[in-house]
Amino acid sequence: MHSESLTALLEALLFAAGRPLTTKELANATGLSLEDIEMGLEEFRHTLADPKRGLVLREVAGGVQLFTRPEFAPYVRRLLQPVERVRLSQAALETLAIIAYRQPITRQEIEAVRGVRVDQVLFTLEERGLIAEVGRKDAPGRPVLYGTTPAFLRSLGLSSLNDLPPLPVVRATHDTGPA
Amino acid sequence: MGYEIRLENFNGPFDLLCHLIDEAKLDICAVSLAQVVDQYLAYVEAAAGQADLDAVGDFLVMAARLLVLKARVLLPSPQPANEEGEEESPEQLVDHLREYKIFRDAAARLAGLMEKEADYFPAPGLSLAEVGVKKAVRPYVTIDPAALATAWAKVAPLFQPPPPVTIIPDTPTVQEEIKRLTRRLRQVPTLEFRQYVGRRARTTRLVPAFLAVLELWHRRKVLVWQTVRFGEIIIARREDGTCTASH
Repeated sequence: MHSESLTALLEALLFAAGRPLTTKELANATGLSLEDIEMGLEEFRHTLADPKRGLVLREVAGGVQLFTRPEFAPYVRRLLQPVERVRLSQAALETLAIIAYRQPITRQEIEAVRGVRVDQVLFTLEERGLIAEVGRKDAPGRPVLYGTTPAFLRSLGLSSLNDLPPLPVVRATHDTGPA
Repeated sequence: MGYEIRLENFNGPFDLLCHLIDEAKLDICAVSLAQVVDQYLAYVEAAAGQADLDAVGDFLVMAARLLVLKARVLLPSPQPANEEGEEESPEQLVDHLREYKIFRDAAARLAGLMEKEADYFPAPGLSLAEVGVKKAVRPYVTIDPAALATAWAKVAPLFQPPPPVTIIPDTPTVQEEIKRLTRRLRQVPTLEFRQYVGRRARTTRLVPAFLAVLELWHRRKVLVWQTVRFGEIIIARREDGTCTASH
């Protein structure tokens, strides 16, 4: 397949899917090898760098997805008038940060860091789909362990937890960095 | 005090401490903590009068820790610290505050990422209904009722009546009850507990249901009261319940 038609094919697939697609999914759909897909995506990204194009290709939540260029956000917003999501409170953001960097983590461990109760905040974060129960800790009372969800990665535009901004100083006594 | 700072604006005692230390342009250390203890206490004292105890509780606990710390820093004790084993050393509190600050800063960076992300609108994708993916295809065949009856007569003897089974009623968990009760309260503003569980509810249902009421009350999602002692428990949805999370 010509690289141009591969680029066009990838564009079509990504447009139709409207969600992050893995290279494997793209390989399955096209019948091409993973290497071909990788090269095709690189080529496509290059094509989209043209200022005549209004889309960008980004790696999000373990796959690639098409988005409108951020410069055009004001216009898209004016057109679609999306419902602005209620912003997370500072308390919710702090709790989310602790979970993101220290997951899996129990409620008690989060409260130890923040110095306040977090049960309501956890409830809010769970309702927003940003965190989820990921298991139970093998400790007295078998407390629930919390972790972040793929929706969390998407809402931050991250490909994986490894892409979280690094913490400035992690003290040696804590070996639980980003999982 | 030049301007008023309300405790409600802080996300807990560590947040207030960070603010005070930042404002005094100090590094986080035992001495700087000791320096801001008085200011901290002033805020808590000012707030203790008006705010509800729930909100101030965590701040009061910190006040006690700070007083111990200040005493230690100002009056170095001849005996080694931590003699009683349980007491917190100033270093621990300082470490803790540093750790908190790391996450407070990280929270700001995550908020920044979310803000930026809101400018990217994803390619729409096509809904499955539009594309018709995996839509069940309904076969349209004419069936002769007589043929159906013959077919049934052939296979019917193959079916033995199943052996009797004892059905153990499914015991709902507290989590399930919370979900169910939340759903019910979306439909009606108030609900009697008896009415919710049903007159004949077994203990295995009553207990999780009651725990669910307590948990929702604790999460400030519902109000609970009785008009007389041992009277009907009335559960009402709290309209302000969802967004008031102050910490």
